Amino acid sequence: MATRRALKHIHISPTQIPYSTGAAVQHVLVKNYLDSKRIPDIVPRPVPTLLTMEFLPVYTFGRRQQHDEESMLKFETLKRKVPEATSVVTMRGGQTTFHGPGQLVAYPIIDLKEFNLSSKCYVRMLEDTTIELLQGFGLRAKTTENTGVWLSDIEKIASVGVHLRRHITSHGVAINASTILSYFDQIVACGLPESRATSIEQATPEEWKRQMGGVKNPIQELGNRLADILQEKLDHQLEHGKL
Amino acid sequence: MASIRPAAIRSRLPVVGRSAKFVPLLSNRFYSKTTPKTVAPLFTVSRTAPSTSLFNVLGRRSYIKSNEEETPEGLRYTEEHEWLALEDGNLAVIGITGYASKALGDVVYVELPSVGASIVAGEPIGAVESVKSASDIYSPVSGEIIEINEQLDKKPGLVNAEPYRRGWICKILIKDTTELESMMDNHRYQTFIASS
Repeated sequence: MATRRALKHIHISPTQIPYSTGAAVQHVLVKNYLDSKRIPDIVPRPVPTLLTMEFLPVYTFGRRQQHDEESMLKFETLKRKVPEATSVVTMRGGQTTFHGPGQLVAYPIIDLKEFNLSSKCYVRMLEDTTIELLQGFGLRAKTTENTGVWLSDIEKIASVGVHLRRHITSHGVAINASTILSYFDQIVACGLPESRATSIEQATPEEWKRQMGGVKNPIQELGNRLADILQEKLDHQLEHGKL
Repeated sequence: MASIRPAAIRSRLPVVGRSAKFVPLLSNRFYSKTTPKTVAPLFTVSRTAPSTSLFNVLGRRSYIKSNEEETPEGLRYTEEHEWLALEDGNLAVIGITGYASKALGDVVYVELPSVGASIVAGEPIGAVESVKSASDIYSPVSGEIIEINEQLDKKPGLVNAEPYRRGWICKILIKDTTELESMMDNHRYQTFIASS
């Protein structure tokens, strides 16, 4: 029988939530994992969990940007220019990105040691999962020397940024499905001024409508599909993987 | 000085880490245990020892480019892949192992602790970032941060290139040396990473 470790999928519903809510749920799950490592006799090992959600408009900054004057200036500027969006500094790697309605945010909370994954391989797994999800819409996405997942050399469709504490993952990937892309105009992705954000709906409007037109909560449905793909990859890793 | 055939020297060298091939000479201590003092090292690099005392800990002897999977003798290790070198009884130098830096990928930023900060064993003291991920670093001991490696600000890649030398992260004045007893020595760490 194939090795399998069930991946629990929680979609924080009903629809869009503030960033702080998603961060709080994530924090609880990570803390549970950390406690189970610290006091295994008292706190049982948690089940690997995929959190998916859809945020209200928010700009998030990576960890190292809090030490960068230019980024912090940008932080203040965004609060002024886009008042309906909040701005938050997070503890993940990577730089500034935007989350908002129409975007699938997926945060797997797993113990990399359990799956024998290095952080580099885990990030690659997240990227491959995203690429496979987009294949379902007939899109051929790829990774480049820049972070994230791209449809072409200048069109970015998903961003990636992960935080690791004692091999426990948090944060993850954000995939533009039907996001309002003008929010991205305020931030320069990866320091590439000629790059622009794209989404599934922008890249293939007919296919998006055909598959999601009748779905009540398309982001949740997208989350379900991503959970299936990630489950398969983690199972495969358990069976065959080594660092 | 009598000339010594390379093969004779190689056969006397200790095995460090998993490889039985010729390994870098890192420590005065372990070198002198296995090799007569009259034998000159095969490779000697002439240089001025840097002002940090790390070389006092790891030896002024020759150092060939390290294989990140080989870990030096004389250091202590944690399951979170931090290493600790002890000098002068209670000054600990902390870094992350080559194994960890390889698993992370190219390091682009190191978040260092603040000098003067009081640390409890097991607490995070900073983070090592690759382009897409940030991984917390944990202090294996309690004490006070008395020095941080500011070279990492401009050259974070030192953590990949020289994890046991110029890629050190911080120095802690230890309060309680008994905390060191729970750390692994080189052989136990090698067994640990081989089994993961």
